[in-house]
Amino acid sequence: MTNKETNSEMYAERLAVQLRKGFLAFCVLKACSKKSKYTSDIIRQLRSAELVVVEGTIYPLLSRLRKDGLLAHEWQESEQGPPRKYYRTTDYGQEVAALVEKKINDLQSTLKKL
Amino acid sequence: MKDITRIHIAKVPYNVEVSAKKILDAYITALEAYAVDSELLEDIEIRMTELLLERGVKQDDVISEADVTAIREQLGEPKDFMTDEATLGIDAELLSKDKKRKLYRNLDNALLGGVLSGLASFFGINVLWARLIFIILSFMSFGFALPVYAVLWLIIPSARTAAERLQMAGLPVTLASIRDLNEDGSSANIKRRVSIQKRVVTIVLGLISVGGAIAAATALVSVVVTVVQHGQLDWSASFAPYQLAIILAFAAGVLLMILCLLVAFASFAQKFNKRIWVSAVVIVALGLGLFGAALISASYNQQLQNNEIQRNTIDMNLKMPDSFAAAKSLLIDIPYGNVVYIADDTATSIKQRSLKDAAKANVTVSEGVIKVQLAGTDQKNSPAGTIITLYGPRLDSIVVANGDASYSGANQAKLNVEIHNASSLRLYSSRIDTLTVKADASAQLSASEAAVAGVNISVEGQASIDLGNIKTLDVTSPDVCASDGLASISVGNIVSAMYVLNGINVAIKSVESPCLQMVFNGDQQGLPGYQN
Repeated sequence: MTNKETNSEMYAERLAVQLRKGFLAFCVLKACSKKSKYTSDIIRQLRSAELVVVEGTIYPLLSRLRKDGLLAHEWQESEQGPPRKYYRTTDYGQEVAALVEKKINDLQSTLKKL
Repeated sequence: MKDITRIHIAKVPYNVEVSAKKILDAYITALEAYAVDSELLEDIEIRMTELLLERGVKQDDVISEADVTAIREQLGEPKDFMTDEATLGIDAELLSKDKKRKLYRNLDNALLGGVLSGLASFFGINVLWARLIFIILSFMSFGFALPVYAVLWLIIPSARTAAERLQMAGLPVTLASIRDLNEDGSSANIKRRVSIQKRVVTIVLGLISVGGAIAAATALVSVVVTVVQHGQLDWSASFAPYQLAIILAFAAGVLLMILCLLVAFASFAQKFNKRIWVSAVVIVALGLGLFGAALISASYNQQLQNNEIQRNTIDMNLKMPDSFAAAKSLLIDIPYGNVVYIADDTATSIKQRSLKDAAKANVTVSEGVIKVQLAGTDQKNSPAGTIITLYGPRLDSIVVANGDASYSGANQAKLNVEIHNASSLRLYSSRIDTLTVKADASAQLSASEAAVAGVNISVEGQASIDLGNIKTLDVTSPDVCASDGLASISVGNIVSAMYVLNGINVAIKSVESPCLQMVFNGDQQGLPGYQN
């Protein structure tokens, strides 16, 4: 019985990971849409919105989104240490985010109807 | 007391405890495996300096193990950095630098079950050798290696996950190596899936070609042995004219063997590239050419030899001895050659056909016995035989001591025949009422082409007698003989259902005699007088 429970938890976690993958990218695009943000700020914002992330997942994601042209980055001086990379959603990124938002809403309405 | 060393992270120099550096190194190495570009790694390093700063570790301060652990907690475990949750199947325990090889079946490079390619990986040899060794073992163990293969197939697990594949190859299981493997491993999987029929063909082709190579090698060795035994390598005797043909055919055989080996190699190495195709075509063309040349050479030499014999063969009349026409018996004692006696009441003649330099037969008559003799030794291997043809009176008795003879053209009541040693006598185109035969050693009598009514036979040794359709048969055969001395009598049809064996009437159905093999070829039941 316990075994099955752990299994179901693990299984649910695996499914959730799949769901989160695309969702996380969307959230990052949202978070950076208003103004340029530093990585730790993005993480803090996501956490405060109760989305559990470690920095490890964010870094490759930022790198990928930037490569795909959804994010742009700029260097900004910091008070302590080396200059920092600040990310901002591009117009293209905004477009994509809007489309994704629509899809998420679609999914949600599906969920309600079920 | 702890050792301290210097590093820099994102160009910021730090002091670091050696133990902490080890952990940090391992962590960064693991991250590198997933850092798609160096920029990402740079970002992470910059972030590390910030995290250190938050913990109060500034430039040139000492990084402790606790700091590294905190950084790691903050940034996350290496697997969090995996952008695509590729089903790598990494077992945390497997992530070690342990280089110990483990035995798995290698399905990526398998022809059948991957047992041999797995073993090849385990022993660090080319899979080609493993396959060849296995094939040779199979032949040598008369197929016993095949069930062994099946058992190994069952008990050895296949390398399914990336980590297992690395262990199979004896590579350290690290994130980097797993990522490398996955990058070029996926295409290998696709390749494997489409080539199942190809693999079956490959196995069959490989087995056939290895068998062919072994057969060809055996044939070549036996040719060499034969040549050495017969010709003593000085190309003397009968091999001499065919020297070129033999060499050409031998070369063709060598090429055939090479072709088989090439195909076997291509099959088991699964390499069918252009170079191998070209070499195969070249070898086939060359081999066919050589074989054709060998045939032409052989037939040309045969022709040449026949012409030579014809040129040198002469017919000559031998001297007719006195009272030849009145003779009643014939005694033949020639070491080689053939005596043809044709009964002819009207004309008598003695002729010899042989090579120019062959010995002349000596035909004499004394007390009514014609004696045919020939000087010299056994020349059976000589391509040209000596034939002595006699036209003479009907004979009452023929004795063949040595040589081959035939008797024909007679219509007579009685004929006594005695054949000894390895001689033979053929009776044909004759009618004989009663034929009395005495045969021993390995003598042969063939009377199936003559009309013979009654036959009395006394047979010994391994003599063999072949009779046609006869009326009565009376056989005398010894009760004891050497174990290898079994005489044989073959009868086409016999009219009566009984024959006499050693003075006793026996049914033709019971043909047992210790030193004689009786064969009745005809359907005796269809004959009149047959009783069950």
